[in-house]
Amino acid sequence: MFCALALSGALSGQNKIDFEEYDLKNGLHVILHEDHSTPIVAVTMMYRVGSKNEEKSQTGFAHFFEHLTFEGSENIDRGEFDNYVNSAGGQLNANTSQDRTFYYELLPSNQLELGLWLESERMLHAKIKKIGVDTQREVVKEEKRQRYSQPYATFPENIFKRLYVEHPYNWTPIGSIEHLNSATLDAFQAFYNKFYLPNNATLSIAGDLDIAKTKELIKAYFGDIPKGNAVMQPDIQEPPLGGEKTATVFDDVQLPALMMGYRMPPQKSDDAYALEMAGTVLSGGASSRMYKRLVDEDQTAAFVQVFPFSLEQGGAFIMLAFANADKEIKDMKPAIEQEIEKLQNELISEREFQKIQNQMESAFIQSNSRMAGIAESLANYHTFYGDANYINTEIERYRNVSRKDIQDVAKKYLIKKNRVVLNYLPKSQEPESGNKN
Amino acid sequence: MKKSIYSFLLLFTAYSLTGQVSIDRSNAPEAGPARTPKIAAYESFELNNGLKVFVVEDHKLPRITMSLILDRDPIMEGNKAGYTSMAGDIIGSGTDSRTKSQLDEEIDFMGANFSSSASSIRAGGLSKYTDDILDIFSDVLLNPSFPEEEFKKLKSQMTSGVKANSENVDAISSNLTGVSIYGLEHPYGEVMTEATVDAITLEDCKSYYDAYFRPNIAYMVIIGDITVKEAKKKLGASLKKWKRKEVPSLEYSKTPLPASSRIVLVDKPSAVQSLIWVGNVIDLAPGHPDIEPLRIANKILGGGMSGRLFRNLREDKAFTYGAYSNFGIDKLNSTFSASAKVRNEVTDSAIVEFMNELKTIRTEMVSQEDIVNAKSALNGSFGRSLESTSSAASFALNIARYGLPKDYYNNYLNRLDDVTAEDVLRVSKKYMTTDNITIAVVGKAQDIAAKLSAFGSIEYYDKFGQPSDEPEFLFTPDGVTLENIMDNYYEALGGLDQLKQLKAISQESSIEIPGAPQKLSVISAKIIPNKVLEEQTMGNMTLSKTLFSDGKAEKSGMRGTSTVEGEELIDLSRQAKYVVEQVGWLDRLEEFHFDGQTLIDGKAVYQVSEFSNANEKPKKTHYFDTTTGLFYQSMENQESPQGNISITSTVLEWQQVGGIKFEKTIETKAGPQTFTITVETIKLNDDVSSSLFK
Repeated sequence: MFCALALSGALSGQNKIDFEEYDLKNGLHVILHEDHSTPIVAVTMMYRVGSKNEEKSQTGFAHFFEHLTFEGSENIDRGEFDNYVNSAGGQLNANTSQDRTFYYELLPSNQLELGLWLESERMLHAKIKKIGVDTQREVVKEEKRQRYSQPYATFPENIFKRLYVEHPYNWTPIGSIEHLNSATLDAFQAFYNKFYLPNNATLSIAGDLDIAKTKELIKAYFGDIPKGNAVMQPDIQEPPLGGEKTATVFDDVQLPALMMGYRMPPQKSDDAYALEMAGTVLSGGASSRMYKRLVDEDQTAAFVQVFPFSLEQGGAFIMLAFANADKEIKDMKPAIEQEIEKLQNELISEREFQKIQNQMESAFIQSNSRMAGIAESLANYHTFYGDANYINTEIERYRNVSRKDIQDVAKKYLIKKNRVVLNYLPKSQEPESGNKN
Repeated sequence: MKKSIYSFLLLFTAYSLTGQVSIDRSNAPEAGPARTPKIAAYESFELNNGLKVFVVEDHKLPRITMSLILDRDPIMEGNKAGYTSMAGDIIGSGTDSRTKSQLDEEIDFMGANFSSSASSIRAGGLSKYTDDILDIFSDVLLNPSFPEEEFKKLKSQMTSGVKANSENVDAISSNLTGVSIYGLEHPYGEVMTEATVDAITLEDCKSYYDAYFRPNIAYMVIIGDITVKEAKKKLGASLKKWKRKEVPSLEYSKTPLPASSRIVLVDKPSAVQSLIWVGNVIDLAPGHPDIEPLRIANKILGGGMSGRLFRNLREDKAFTYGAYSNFGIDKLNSTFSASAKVRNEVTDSAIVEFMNELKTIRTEMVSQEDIVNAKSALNGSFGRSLESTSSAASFALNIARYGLPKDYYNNYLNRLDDVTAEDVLRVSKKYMTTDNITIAVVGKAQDIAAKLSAFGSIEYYDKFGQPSDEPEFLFTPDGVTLENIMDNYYEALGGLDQLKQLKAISQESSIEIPGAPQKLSVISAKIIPNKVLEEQTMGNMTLSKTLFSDGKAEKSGMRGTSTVEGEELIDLSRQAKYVVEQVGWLDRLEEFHFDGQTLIDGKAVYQVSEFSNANEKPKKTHYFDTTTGLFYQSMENQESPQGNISITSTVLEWQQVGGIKFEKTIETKAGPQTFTITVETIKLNDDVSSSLFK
C-alpha cells in the first residue's frame, strides 16, 4: 500500500492496522485489511448470535447451528464443506460464545474467492436436513461429554447459572441436550431464518488481498442475499443478585478448588476496563498480589487465576484458586478475602500501577501478529464496540483507568452480595446422600 | 496510434475491474495464480564456548523472543522421575543476586514472559527491553542459587500437579501409552508419582544443572526486532562466561514392537467417555525419505476434518467429537498413533472402525484425488506455518540438531510433490501395523471391559502406568445362586411346568437393517423335540433357510445347500428340545457360572457366563434383571470379516401369549451396527403348521 511510508513515520514502530470498512445494501458489514507479508488470507464471518439470543426452551441452539451449517447448502453437498477448504490447502473452524458465532477459513491467498463462496452459501441457503440434525446432535453430545470429562470443567456453567437468573447468561453456549433432543426441524429452520442474515453479520478479511478486486467479489457473492428483519438483542434487566450464593460441587478432582464469580458491567463500560486492570493486579504474572500471597508466601494454593469473563451485557469476574497438596479451601479463602479488601481500602502503589500499564501495553502491542487474529479482532470491535478502529486505539481505554478507578470498581463489584462462591471438592468427600450440582 | 490503443485497452481493463463480476454459485470458484510462501532468512554463528546461535530478524512488531535449548540424550530418572523438570524449575527461582520475588517483579514490570524447564530457558517481551530481558536470562542461566526454601515450595507444587493429573484422562492416557509402549525401563516410559517427587533432592537438581546446562550442547534462538550484529555483540558480552564441559551421552536400545497386538486399560469408574489410543513405535529417523509419504498417508487417514477417521467416526457414526491420527518423529523412537474420545457404549465399535481404517489404508491404494487433496492441504499448512517467523527458526534448529541438508525445508514441497500412491501404500504397510498394535483405553471398565475382551486379553494398569489387578465391579449378593436365578426367570416367564408343556412354536419377526432397502423377515419354528426351522426372506427372496429334523440339518440359501455339522448342529438339537431354549440350561447346568451382580445401562443385573470348555474363556455372557427376574442381555464375541467383534442382544420389550411371556423387541448390536428385531406374531402348540418343516 502506498501509505506504508507515512505509516512508519507517524507511528514509530507501533503496529497500526489499516483497514477499510463499508456496508453492502443488504446490511452486511465488510472490513478489509491488506497485508502481503505471507500469501495467506483469513476470511471470517461473525454473526451476532450467541447463547444469549436463545429462548429459555432452546438453549444450545446457537452452538448447535455452528455445527449444522457445515452440513452443506444448496450448492455444497453434505460433508463437502471441509473438503473444499482442505483440498484448497486451507483450514477452517468456528466457535460460539454467549454473544456471537464466528466462522473462519484461513486460505492460501489465491483461494480467497473460495472462502467468499463458502460463507455466502452458508448465509444464503444452508441446508437444514434431518440427517444433519441427527448426526450433529450426537456429535454435540460427545463434545459436551468430552469437555465435562475434564476436571473442574463445569465451573463456568455452575457460576453463570447462579449469577444470572433472568438474563440468558444464565446458561452457557453448550446449552441443554434435552432442548436439542426435543427441537423440531422447523424450529431449527426458524432460528436460521431469524439470525443468519447479512444485516446481522460482519465479513472481515485480512491478508494478502487486493482491496478493489475483493470488493467486487464480495458484491458478487453477497450483494444479492436478501436483507432480513432487524435482529433485536435481548433487553433484560437482571435484578441485583441480592446476596452471596454458595454451592458445593463434588467432582472428579484431587485438589479442592475455590471458584468465585462476581457480576460484571457490560464489556464496553469504563468499569469493565477498570476491572480488567484489577484482575491484572491480582493475578497478572508471578509478582501479582494473589499469586505472590497464596502460591509463594502462604503456599496454600498450587495455582491461582483471576480473569474477567467480559460479555456484551455483563459477564463474570472469575477468581480460581486450586489448593496445594494437603491444603483445603479454608486455608486459602481468608487470604483471598484480604487481598480483595486491600484493593478496596487502599490505592495500588504508583509502581504497581506502572507495572500493570506496562503489562497491558506489552500484550496490546504483541496481540496483532496473525491474520486470523486481526480479522477476528476487527469484526469483534466493530460488532460489540461499534468501532473497528479499537484494534489500534483500545489501549487508550486502559490508559484512561486511574488508580482510583481500580479501587472504586473493587468496592462496587468485588463484594460478597454480588458473587457466587463454589467449593469444588473431590467426590471422595461427598456425603452418601449429598446433593449434586 | 499505438499509444491510443494501449490507453483504450487500459480503459477496458479498468472497466472490467470495476464492473459486475459474474459468478457461478453452483460450483466452487477456481483458484487464482498461487504465490509461493517464503521461509524467513536466518543467520547463525557460534560463540567461543561452543554455543550455537540462530537469529531470525523480524521487525514487523517491536518484540523479541529468546530461547535456549539443550540438545541432550533422554535421561532415565528411575525412582526420582521428575527431577530434571524440578531442576528446570528451580534454576528460574533465584540467582546469586536476585531472589525469586525480585525476578518475578522485574519480569512482570516489563510485561515480559519467562520460563525455564529441564532442557530450555525461554523469555520474550518488547524489544525496547532486550537488554534487561537478556540480563535476567543470563543471570538465571549462569548464576542460579538453588534456594532451599524455593525447592520445598516447588516440591509441594509438583505433588499438587501429580494429584491434579491423576484425574485428567489425557494425562492418564499419556502415562498408560508411555509405559505400555516403552516399558518402565525406558526414559519415555517413566511416570512421575508422588513417591518419585518426594525422593528428589536439591542435590539431584544441582548436579543435573552442572552436568547438562553447558554451551557445547546448547542452541540459542533469537527471533524478532534485533539485528544479527546486535545479537552477536549482546550475547558475546553476556554469555562468554558460560563454561563448556563434556556432557555425558546416553544410549538406549530401540524399542521393539510387541509380538502380537495388546489391549491395555486403565479403569476410570466415573468416565462417560473412553479415550482410545491405538498406536505403535516406528523405526523412522528425522530426515528419512519415508517421512513425506507417511505425512500424506497420515493426512488421508486422520489428519484433520477431512481425514477418514473423522469422517467415519464423527460425521458418519457420530461416535465422537473428533478422531485423528498422528506420528511423531524423534531421534530415539518415533511413534504412529490414532485416537478419539467416544461414549462408553461404542468403545468397542470405535476400535473396530479404527482397525478397519488402518487395514484399508494398508491394503488399498489411495485414489489420485486423495493424493492431490492431501498434497494441497499439506502445502497450505506449510504456507500457513510460515506466517510466524518462529517456523524458520525451528527449521534451522532441526537442520542443526538432526544433521539435515541445509535445503531440507526449502525442498520440502518438492519432496511432497514427488510422492505417489504406491509410496503411500508402501509406507502405510510399513509403519501402521495392525498385528502388533497397542490399544490403550482409559475408561469405565464396568461398561466396556467385557466388550473389549474381543480384542484380546485385557492388561490392566493404574493411573500411573503400574500394572494392576482387574477391577472388581462384580459383587456377590447374599443368598443368590445360579439355581435361583434360573427359577426366578422361569417363574417370571409363566412357570417352569407351563414352559415344559409347550409342544410347538412358530414366530414371524421383522428386522430393520440400517441402509437395507427392505426389512428382513424371519420365520422361526420348532416342534418339540426334533424339528427346527429358521428362514430369512427379503421381499420374495429367500436368503437362507435352515431346517433341522431328527438329528440332521440342512442349510440352503443363495449359495446352494449344505449340511450343518459341529457346534451349529449341537445348538440346533438343543433348541429343538424346548420351546424356550433356556429351559434346556437345566440339563447342562455345569456349563454355566454365576459371576455376580453388576450394572448394565444403569440396570442391576446378575451375570451368568456360559462355557463350552471349563478351561477357556466363556463363549457367552448372559445378564438377568434382578428386579423382574427376566433375561435382559446376552453377549458373545464372534469372528467376522471385520475381525473379532462383539455381538450384544438386549430384550427391550416382552409380550404375553397363551399366559407365557415371549420376547417382543430385541436390539442386537454387532460391532458398529445395530439391528432391531420385532417379533410380529407368535403361534403355539396346535396352531403351528407342520407344513412349515417341509
